Amino acid sequence: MKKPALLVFFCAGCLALGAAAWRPQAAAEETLFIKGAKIYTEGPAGVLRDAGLLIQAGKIRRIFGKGDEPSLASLGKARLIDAAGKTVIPGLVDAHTFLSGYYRLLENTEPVTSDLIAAAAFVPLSPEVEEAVRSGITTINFSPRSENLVGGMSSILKLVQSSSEPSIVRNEAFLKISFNAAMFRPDRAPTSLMGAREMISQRLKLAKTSAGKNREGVFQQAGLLKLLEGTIRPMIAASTFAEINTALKWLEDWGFQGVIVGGEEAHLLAGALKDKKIPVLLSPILPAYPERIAAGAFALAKQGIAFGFVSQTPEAAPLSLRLSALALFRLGLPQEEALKTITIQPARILGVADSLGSLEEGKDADLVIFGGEPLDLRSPVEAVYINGRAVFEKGK
Amino acid sequence: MKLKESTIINYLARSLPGIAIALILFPLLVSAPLSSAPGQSQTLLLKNARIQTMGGPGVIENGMILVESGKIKKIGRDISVPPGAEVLDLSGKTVIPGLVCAAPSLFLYERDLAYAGEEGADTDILEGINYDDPSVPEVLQYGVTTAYISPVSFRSTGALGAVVKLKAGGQGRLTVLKDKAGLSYRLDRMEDRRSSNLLRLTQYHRIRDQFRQAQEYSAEWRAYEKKLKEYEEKNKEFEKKSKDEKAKKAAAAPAPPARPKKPEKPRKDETREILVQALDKKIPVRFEAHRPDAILQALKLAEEFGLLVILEKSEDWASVLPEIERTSTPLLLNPLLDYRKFTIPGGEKGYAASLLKIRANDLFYSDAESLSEDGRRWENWKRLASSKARFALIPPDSFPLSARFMKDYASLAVGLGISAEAALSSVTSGAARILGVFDRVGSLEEGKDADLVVLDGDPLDSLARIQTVYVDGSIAWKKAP
Repeated sequence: MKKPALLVFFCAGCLALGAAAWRPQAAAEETLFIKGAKIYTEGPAGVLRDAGLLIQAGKIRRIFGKGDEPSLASLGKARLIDAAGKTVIPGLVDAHTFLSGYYRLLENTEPVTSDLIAAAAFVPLSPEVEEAVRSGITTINFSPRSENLVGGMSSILKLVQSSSEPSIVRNEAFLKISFNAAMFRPDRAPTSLMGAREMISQRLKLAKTSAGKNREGVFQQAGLLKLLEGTIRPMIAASTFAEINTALKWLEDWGFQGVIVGGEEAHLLAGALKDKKIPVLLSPILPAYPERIAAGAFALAKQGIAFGFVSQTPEAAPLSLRLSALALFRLGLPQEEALKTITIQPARILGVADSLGSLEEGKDADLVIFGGEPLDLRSPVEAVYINGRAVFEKGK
Repeated sequence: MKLKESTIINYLARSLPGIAIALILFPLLVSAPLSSAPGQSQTLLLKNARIQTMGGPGVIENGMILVESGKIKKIGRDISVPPGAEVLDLSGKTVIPGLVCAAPSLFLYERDLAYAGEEGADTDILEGINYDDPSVPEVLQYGVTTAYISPVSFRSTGALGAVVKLKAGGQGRLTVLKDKAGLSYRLDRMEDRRSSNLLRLTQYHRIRDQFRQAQEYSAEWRAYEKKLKEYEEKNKEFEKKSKDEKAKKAAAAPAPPARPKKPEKPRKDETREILVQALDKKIPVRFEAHRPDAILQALKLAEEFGLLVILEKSEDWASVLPEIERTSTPLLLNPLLDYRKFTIPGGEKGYAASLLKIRANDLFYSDAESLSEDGRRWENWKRLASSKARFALIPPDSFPLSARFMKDYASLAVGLGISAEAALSSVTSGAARILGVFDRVGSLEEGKDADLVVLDGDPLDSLARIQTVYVDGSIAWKKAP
């Protein structure tokens, strides 16, 4: 008698759990219509006034211009969001961050730990993730720290803050290499830039010759081998002229197409960066920085070099992305262009611009609604959507 | 000046023989504008501006401001143009008072006094200030014209700060508005992750001891002064008596009274002299107290010693707000401030770090704090908006150039639910009041310093641009056309 009763309870429990787990999935299927907004598409459509955005199955189905609104009947059971007087921009892309895992992203036992994958250190329920979402960030490139010559592989993630929805866009995105001052320690090699360049080249050669033979080596060589295969690209932390110069030389040695991150003095190498088509991810412009840092970033923009800002949370707050774009606006870049440095440009640099970084039909419905102009610091973030699902709504 | 010039020229035109006089006068005319001190220049009338006075007159639409010898002579709607005044039409523009930064660390020679080590209450910022600091123009262009400066330290011991005014060009870019404007203490040791509650308690007791010793010192001196007075009176009497004695020399008088003993003078102590001034409420005591327990300790010290206390960087005020309101203690805050993450921006990289040369584990950072509490922090600012607590906004860190963005910190506060009026006041009049310099700066009223910021839009709109910054009536910064 007892056994069947238990079984019934068990089944009921399973159903309840199943239903709970399914709910977010169902929500993602929801149809959403945002109307009356000023939309900074950051794509070819530019800025649209009094426009509408139809979201279905987590994607942007259609963008309606002024006076080109769908009939209510055609929308069916769509959830209507009146965004009159508000602005919509694509979800911000933070292309280099330690969000939620500052101390877990450093395996500082060996100078080369190329097989580590950053995603393992991510904590979706961290208060830092919450703060990032409230600041409008929807996608991050979660990266190993810059204290190792080769720190490991970065992962591109969406900040869905849910265990039931997939958040990984790309598990192994970039191989993080560092030529930064922070990497050098007096107690282990390399202790100089030339040493760093030589050591990483030697490790690559070793990986090439001993591929598959050296079982112990394979363990630490996973990332290097992927780099040689061309399945991942290098992301090099370099801030000063000398560091960036060394990074460019090393990339040329091996014929890799890499990305520079940090880049405070990148404007001094603007010519070389442009010739070699090497994009730059700039450290955020902090309140404490002198004017010349912002002027350097502005110089890059003027010369048409692809760059985006990164927050490197927690070294700077997630809000620093908007503050950096505002600094460029103040130097004379139009707001729409300044916003590109924290949306479409980092998405392009990460290689995910086919689905992220701008509001275009067919792309992922990752967007932020602001109470006013996006770069006006008075404008609160009203709502944030990832894959068409609200991850933050003000007052809820 | 113009008037004088034209009358002289007219006079010369009528009397040709006066050319000789003209030859003598001409060099005088040319040299006159050069010899007049900058800032004391001519009369200036600004008209057709929207003026947010932040003082008695409130907001004046299509208002006029008459500036004479560096001061606001008149402010209102109908001011007749005085002869010789330069008239400036500011249609479509907004004028606000020069912004006030109420927290420290500007204008020191490199890292002088920033981490002095053995400083005490008599360590005065004015001993280390760089009057020609090259960062002054960078700060001025963001409309900040008045700033509190003080040594910054990770230690608990206090040091003296001052309020300065920024000005462009000339010899010395800074002028002192008020010295001994604050005595800074740290109640939270937040320099690294190893700091503990016990350490904080030691800190508290060290500060308390200092004030108790100062009380004793003060009592000792008062007792001495009283004794000295008594001695002087007695001595006078003695001198008089002994004179009389001499007169009646031969007479067989009783033995003369004993000469009174002079009281021993206590040692002067510079540090305690300063603390005594704080005990007399002449110098406000600024406590850097981040956590609620440290805030309560600061309020306890204020009560015990009758101090005039200002709470600095007290971002975790929410749970102790009733106490702060009851004691009407001013708060100095920043929307970006969060001691839980780090006290140093830029982390171990970049400019900030090279300034400090910190190591990775010197960053104060923890993600172990409770999630719910962090969620509430966003809502806290709304409570501040509806409370009676006095507050001013300060930069999120102690780095010199962070003082530039006072206007942005106010905009961020608006985004968090503070009214535009309160937010702007927290970087102008409110801040000036807390610093004790409201008689000179912080609002646009008759008789006050003519420190003005002209903008092409709403002052708190981050997209509005600053056009001109005036200090003492003369242009300190002007946007390139």
